[in-house]
Amino acid sequence: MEKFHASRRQFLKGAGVAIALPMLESLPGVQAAQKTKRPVKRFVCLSNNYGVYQKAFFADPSQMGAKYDMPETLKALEKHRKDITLFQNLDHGFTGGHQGVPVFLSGVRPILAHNYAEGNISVDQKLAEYHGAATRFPSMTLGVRERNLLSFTRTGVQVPSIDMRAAYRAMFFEDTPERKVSRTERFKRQNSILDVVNEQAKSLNRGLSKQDQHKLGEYLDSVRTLEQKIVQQEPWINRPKPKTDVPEPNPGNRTEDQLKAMMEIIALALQTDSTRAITCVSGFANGDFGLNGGYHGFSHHGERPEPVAALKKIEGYQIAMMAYLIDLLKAQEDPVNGGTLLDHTSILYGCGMASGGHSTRNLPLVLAGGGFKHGDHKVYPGPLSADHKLEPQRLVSKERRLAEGVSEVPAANLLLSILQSCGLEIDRFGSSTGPLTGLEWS
Amino acid sequence: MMHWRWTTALLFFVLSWGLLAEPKLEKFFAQNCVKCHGPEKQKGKVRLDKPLDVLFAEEELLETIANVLETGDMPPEKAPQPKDEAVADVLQILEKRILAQHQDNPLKRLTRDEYTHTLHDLFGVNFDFSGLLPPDQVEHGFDKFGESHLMSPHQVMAYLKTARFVTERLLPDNKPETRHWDFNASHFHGSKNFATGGGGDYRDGDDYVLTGFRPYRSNLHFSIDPESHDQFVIPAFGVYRLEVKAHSGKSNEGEVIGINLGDGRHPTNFQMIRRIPMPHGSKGFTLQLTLKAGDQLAFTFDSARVPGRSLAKKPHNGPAMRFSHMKVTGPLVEKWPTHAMQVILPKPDMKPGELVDHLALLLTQRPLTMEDRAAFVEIATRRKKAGASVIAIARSVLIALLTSPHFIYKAESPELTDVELAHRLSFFLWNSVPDTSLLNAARSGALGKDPSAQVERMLKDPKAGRFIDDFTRQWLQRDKVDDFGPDVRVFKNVRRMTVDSMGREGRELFRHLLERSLSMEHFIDSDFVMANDRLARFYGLPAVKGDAFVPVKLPKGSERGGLVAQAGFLKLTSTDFATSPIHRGSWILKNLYNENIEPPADVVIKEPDIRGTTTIREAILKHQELESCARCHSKIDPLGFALEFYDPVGRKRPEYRHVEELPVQRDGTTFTKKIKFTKVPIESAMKLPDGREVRDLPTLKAALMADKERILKGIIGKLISYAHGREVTRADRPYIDAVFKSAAKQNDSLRAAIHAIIAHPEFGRK
Repeated sequence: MEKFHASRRQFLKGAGVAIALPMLESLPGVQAAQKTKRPVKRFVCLSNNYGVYQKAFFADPSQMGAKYDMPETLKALEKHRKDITLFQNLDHGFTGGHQGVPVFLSGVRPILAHNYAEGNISVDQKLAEYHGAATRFPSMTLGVRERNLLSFTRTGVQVPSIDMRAAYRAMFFEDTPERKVSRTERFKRQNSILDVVNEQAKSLNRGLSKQDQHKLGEYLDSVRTLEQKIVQQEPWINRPKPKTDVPEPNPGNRTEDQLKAMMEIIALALQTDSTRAITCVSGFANGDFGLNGGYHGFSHHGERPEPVAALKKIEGYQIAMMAYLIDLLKAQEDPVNGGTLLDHTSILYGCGMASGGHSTRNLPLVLAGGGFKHGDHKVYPGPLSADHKLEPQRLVSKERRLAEGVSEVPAANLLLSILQSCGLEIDRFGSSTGPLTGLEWS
Repeated sequence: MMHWRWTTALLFFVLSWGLLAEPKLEKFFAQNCVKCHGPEKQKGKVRLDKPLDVLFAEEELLETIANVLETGDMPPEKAPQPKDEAVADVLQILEKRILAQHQDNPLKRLTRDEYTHTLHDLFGVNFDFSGLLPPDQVEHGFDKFGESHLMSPHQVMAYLKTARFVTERLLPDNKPETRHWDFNASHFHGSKNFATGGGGDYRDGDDYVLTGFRPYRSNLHFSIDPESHDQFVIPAFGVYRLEVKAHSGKSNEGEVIGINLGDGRHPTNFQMIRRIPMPHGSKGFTLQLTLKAGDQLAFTFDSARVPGRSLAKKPHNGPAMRFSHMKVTGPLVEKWPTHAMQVILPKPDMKPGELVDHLALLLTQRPLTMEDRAAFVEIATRRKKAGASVIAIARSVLIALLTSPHFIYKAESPELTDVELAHRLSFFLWNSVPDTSLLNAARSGALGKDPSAQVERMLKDPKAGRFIDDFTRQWLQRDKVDDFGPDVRVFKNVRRMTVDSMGREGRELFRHLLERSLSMEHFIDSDFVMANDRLARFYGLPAVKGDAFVPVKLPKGSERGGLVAQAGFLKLTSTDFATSPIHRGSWILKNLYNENIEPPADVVIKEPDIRGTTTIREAILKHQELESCARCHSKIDPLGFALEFYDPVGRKRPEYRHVEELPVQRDGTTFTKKIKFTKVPIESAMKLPDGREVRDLPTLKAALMADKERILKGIIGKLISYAHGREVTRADRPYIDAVFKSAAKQNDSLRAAIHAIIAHPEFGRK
């Protein structure tokens, strides 16, 4: 492979990490984008599994618009004030504590998924479908010291997550020529095997009850989708992988170090156009930040000072890492669209369970980048009022939502807006009622 | 023809009976229920003013109505109460209706465990698929439910990859070369001195010494070249023999070594795969492990203390594990061609059709239909034309068969065929496919007539250990015992291996009851416990030698015995430093009574602000202030509070100890953390809904014992649920009652109950 010239290298100086720019023009995703002249947009979700300590996370609801005091937990975002938007009173409109976590990026509870045309597909997987084989990896599901429960396919199956070293190796370690040949052959053979097993169902089906036929139908759909995916992904085997000067990450054992290294991997993945949809969930291990205890334990704080302080520390660091990712993306020119990477990458911080007290009302949400018009603290009409007209497709009884005090505006509207801003021509997503009013993008 | 007539007759019966029942039910609902569950209010999102045929179609709702009427939970206390006879009448009508319901049991696929054991039993090779097949969803307690077996492209891809992984290792082109490696202290590496109160890992003469247990930070790993630090990597899949010379110093008891896979230098994906008990005086161990290319080995000292966080360097005086030598030999090839190769290719030159028939029968125990067969034969023929070797052809066919729905799904007819019955039995007791003897018994019809001989044979087989392990893991959530804490500041003396033993106790009790045909009553209360050395010491019982569990008679006055007195349960239901009476109470209802308690659809789960409340009791009783919560919490809370005299790790405590961390004082680099304890008395007495008071473990166990029949039926329900791969409902009551009666004749024996489940006609239905 031709080596690229030093003059083409660009370095991320300000952020303290150097990332060499690979030859991107050769990538098909870039070529396609250059043809259509439509910007390529990306999405990153940073999340945790326990919500936030709300009192330190939310700005004063009376301070709407650009003039608001940065809340304690969000202090690290002060320097990016013009590039972020804070929200209040958005949620997915149901109760259920921890069950809210996997609902965050779909707005649809897994048990109600059958009521929706696309099930409980998550934003990142919707984008993965949209971009298809334009990038080597349709999506990346990542976790730092935590299970990532956010990504669901349209069939309701959780997408397994990988750790950062596996991600790095997949992105940058080139296969040997022999391995490429054997992989191509394997792809072909896999497809012929799938053809065969696809045929099997016909005879099996006859002996089965209707319900079982439905189950088997699920299997067949999966086989067919997989065949298509294999065909789409096959050309990637022989395309050269991007090169980078950044060595394989080797952070220490502390969550602090691992999360920071993960942000660098995410920046690297976007910059090399390896993927356009990333979710990353961060956790906590006993001993991190000099804290003794467990994340779950802290989150049930009951307003006791010790766990509250611990939560502020953990969440503050997660936010600081969001700020660091913004730094990285701001400093980097977008290889596909021009401008900075941040201009074309939405970063959403949040969680589907609002707080450790099992509340799912008023989700913590911070949005950055992605070409949105930022700078405001947006406060939406608070809890649903009794005379509010109920949208039928939300499938949650109004009584229940009134009792919980859930909001009038579904958080899925924000998810829809993000998808629309990424170029998807859709007017509904999950439990949305429409794009989020008052949030504009270019 | 017969079938059609029968359906018509049934339909006619249902219709005519429905007409008779209608006025009675409608009247009852109108008088007693519709006020809150009708046009004006729909409490709990339930509406009962619907036509009966609509109502009857909602099977779960019927079940709920029957349950709340039976327990007297509805109508609520404050509302006017219907007459007992009226309730009994309505219950009878509902019951009949529920019994006529069709049991939902959707198509199931192999769980990861079943897949693993099936391949082991077919080919004699141990595979670990944890990195290849996704974990199974656990629905209402068990991962065997077809309802939760979703399928996706990811899952199919996983099957495809796993099939390839398996076949490439079962059918290699060449005989692997057996090699051996020797490692001594100069090849050993550890984490040196981690800053934890002295000790650490260090080289000492010819030994390398581990002193603490910190799985991610402190481990022993090996390099081939003493100069470099590149970790030794397993070169190829196969069975490896490890001969390790190690002994413990400064220790008066048995110790435990952990064997782990993963990069010992940067352990982000470290995985413990085996624990090796080292009896006192042991000089080392030899064992065989199935490893794959790329695996990296590392040892941990699992019975060591967890080092504190202090930075002060103090000399280490506790036990130390001294490693001096390790020899690795592998991959071992006992004979060539291997057993698996002989099973797959019994004759050297098999024609494509012959090969497909042989492999299909081997994997699914059923011949393929002609139209299915053709596609597989086509694969083989095509490969043969392309000049592939017999081995390569067999690989392709095997991959296709392992990915096909014939192998992955457990298809069942409404009335199970003999072979299907053998499969259900075998997946129940062995987590795997039937062996030849069981299949022969099935095909001859003997199994259908009287399964008891086969069941006895199967329970005596070591493979029954899989059932004991898998069932108790899911029923008792044994694998979650170690999920939380304990907070090392408060529970300084609870070592990892003690917690590990807690997780094993429930399984060992089940095993003992099953093997000795003892009464299931021992799950409620017992005059003995199963304990090993660590657990016996933890419970303060007469000393037991060694890591294996033995029955230990309880001394007079001991409160232990029974599942609710097990430290594993008490820890499982606690957080890192606090007990959770709600968790404990609901665990008892769910897992002993087999009650289906979930928060109702419209309940607002919101934790109260507990500042200002001075005790846990006050904080929790806030839940009971709301009427919608009280319905269940009046049952849950007393059961949980009675256990408050047992702390988060399951030790008896006279009072609560509240922990407060005082501000840290810095002294150079040394932190001195101060903990303040405040003592608060425990107030545990509460009344169960039926008026019985429970206040401590003995009174709780007495109350549970008074409910013995209900609890034993609950446990039988759990076994049925596991065996059938579906939830049990009220419609299963006759089934459960029959099993209970049958076991009661044999002193409530667990073994008899399992026999009775399998012998019941319902076991042979989908």
